[in-house]
Amino acid sequence: MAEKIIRRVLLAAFSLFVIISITFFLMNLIPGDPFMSEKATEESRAVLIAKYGLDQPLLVQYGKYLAGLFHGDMGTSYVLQKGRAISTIVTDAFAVSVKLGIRALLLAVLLGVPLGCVAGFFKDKLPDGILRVTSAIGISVPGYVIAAVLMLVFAVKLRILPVSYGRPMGEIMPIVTLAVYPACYLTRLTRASILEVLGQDYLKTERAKGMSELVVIFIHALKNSLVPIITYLGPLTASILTGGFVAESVFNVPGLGRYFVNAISARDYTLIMGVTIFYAALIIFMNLLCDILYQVVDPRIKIG
Amino acid sequence: MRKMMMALSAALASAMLLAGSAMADNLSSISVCAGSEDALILNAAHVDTLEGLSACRHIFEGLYKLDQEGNIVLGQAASVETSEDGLTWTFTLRDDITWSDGEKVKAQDFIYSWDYLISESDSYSSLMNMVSEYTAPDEQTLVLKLAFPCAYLPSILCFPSTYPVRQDLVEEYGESYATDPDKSVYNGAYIVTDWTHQASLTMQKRAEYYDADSITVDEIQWQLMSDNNTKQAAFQSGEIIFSDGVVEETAASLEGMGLQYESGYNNYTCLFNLANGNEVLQDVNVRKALLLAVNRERLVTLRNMNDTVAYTYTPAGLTGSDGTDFISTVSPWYSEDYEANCEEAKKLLAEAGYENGEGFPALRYIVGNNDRKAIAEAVTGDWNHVLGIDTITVETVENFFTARQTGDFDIAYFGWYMDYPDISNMLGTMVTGANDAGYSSEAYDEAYNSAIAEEDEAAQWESYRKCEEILAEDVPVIPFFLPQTTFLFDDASYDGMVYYCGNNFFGYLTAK
Repeated sequence: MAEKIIRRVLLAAFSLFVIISITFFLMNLIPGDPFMSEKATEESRAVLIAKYGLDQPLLVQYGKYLAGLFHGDMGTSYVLQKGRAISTIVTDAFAVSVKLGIRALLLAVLLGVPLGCVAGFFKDKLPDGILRVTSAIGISVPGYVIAAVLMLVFAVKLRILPVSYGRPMGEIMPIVTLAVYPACYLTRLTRASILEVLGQDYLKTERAKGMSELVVIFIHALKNSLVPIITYLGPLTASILTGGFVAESVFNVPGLGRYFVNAISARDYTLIMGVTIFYAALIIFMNLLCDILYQVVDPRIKIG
Repeated sequence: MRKMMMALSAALASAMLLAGSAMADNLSSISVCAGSEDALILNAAHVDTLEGLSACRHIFEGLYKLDQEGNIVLGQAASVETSEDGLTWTFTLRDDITWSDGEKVKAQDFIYSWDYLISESDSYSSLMNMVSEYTAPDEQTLVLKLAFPCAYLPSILCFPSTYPVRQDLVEEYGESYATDPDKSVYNGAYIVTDWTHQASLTMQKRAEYYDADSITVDEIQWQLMSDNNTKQAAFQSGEIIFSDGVVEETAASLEGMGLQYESGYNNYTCLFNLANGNEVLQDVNVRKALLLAVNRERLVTLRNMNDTVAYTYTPAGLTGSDGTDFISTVSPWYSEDYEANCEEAKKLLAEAGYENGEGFPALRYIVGNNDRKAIAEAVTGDWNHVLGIDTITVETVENFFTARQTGDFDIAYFGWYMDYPDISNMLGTMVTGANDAGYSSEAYDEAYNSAIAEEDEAAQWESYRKCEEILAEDVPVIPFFLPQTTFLFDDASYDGMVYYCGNNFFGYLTAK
């Protein structure tokens, strides 16, 4: 067992190394460099490129980067937060993304699961119809549209919520924007999963015993239909923590999601690496944890 | 007793009123947005964005500063003496200037900063090229020796890149100097008290600033936003009183509700690649034909941003000592009669051997974003319509500046936003080695160099006019129009914003 876990950890470290290497070389394949601007002269650019060692052979740069990384040094940002340490940027921003993401996740679950039950309870009746239509809309409308509509209605017209995140109640709109899609998806998922369970024999027994339909659905059926929902929560957590780009840029949230796109367009090499390594490590660690837990919970599941 | 009480309360009430009116002169806090985090650079040697420059003007101060009217006046310097030949400038620093940690601002701080500016080799590291030597004979004196008698030196020394930095802090923090409030000290009107990266930055007025009495805003909150929709919404909801960005499509609806246009001393052009573009561009008749066939009125209408048609390379508004606009003394590159221009263009193209565009080779016209693509396509539309050239394709390239600097184009967008309102700053962009067109003309360089070295304005303008004439003859570049700088400012409630070449100073704001 211990040996298997060690092997699994080593494998995780190797995956991370592969991701770091691939990202490093792919990133350097994109044309351009971090020091382009209308005002920069060719000479000044050349000096900066030399200063940061970007004129050295790629393999040398790669070796230096790995050596730094090994000592816990991810360098400083070239463009987006020029001069700030990557590790500080990433940890600061991730803290904000987590704070926002967890609340969005809670909102999505607390809305989506009960509404799914309601839809299942009223299958093919009016409430079910309304929920199916609204959740279909919620799933298909892109995040930036939701963000823009929220902003227009609550900030510009009604003036009851602020546009930027930093102000009192500024979290509400970004949380709602983040929660709409998963809430709607969970509604549909719960409904489908409950309907599947409802046909099963043990529920017929419950009904035969005279239980009310409400108790049957919310207590007995829901418990067994939670399995697919919990399975979905894993990737959902990851996507809500990483996919906040729209909500973060529209509502000016200082989170990590924005860097995913911005760092690449700015050719902020060290930041691209920092963000990628951070998320890759996070996901690899989560997977590793799950694998190990499976092994602990159910020894029949093989890892390796 | 009751009478006394009444008298007392009346006195109290009037005292409160008085206090109220005294308070009204000073704004306790304002919120503005001049850009996003990546543009907020507070290191004088690195700052090269409008937002960073604006922010630096609040927290640092050079030998010169901007006054309430946006004029350049002495700042950290108490006086300046110029030698007769205009080549030696001797500044005496004020004796009441301090850094925010209490240390005195010394002449050596400036010397170190200028060394640092040059050694860091960023966008503005060559800004002080006209200064051949600078020394500090004592703590309060700075002597600048110039390569030529540069009349616009005050604009340079008012530019944030020349503001002082503190050696001990630069050396202590290295790369991360000035990236957090505690990693810098300030010699300007404000200090940075809080910086929530990516979200907002707070500046507080510095009581020890020598001219603190003129500063009427106690706190400035810089909201860091990148999305123009967000900025505009925040402005409309009253969260910010200034926004540097507007949504171009809907901006017109804010006319009269805060939308402002200011001359930015900008131009909007396209460059020919004379060094390694298609060979057809070597023929000056081809370049002239393309220059003449552009319908500039239509471009201005298309953009709908209050631009004006450009008849010269230099923008309008650069006035001489008697108020004459420089470009009113320059002969326009083309006639106001578009039809006549088109006829001339057709003739020139035929002379070049491409009558009706027949046999004209395929060319790449590169731009950096889709707004510019729309303009470029309107231009190629004119070339097609008037000259029959349908082989020029417009391309939005991902890495526009690299492509242009490395000469990977035939025609490319070029627009220069002037840093300080001196003609040299615009015409300097066409000097040999400074332009991406690969344009090099001895006559042009000579005219430019004699202009900047000239003390007498009339003679100087004569040389600048010569530069314009040479450009109009050689056509390495096609001027289209002069764009305005657009921003949102709540002028219904506030007065006194200083606008200078795309930079803003908010410290003198008052409530209306």
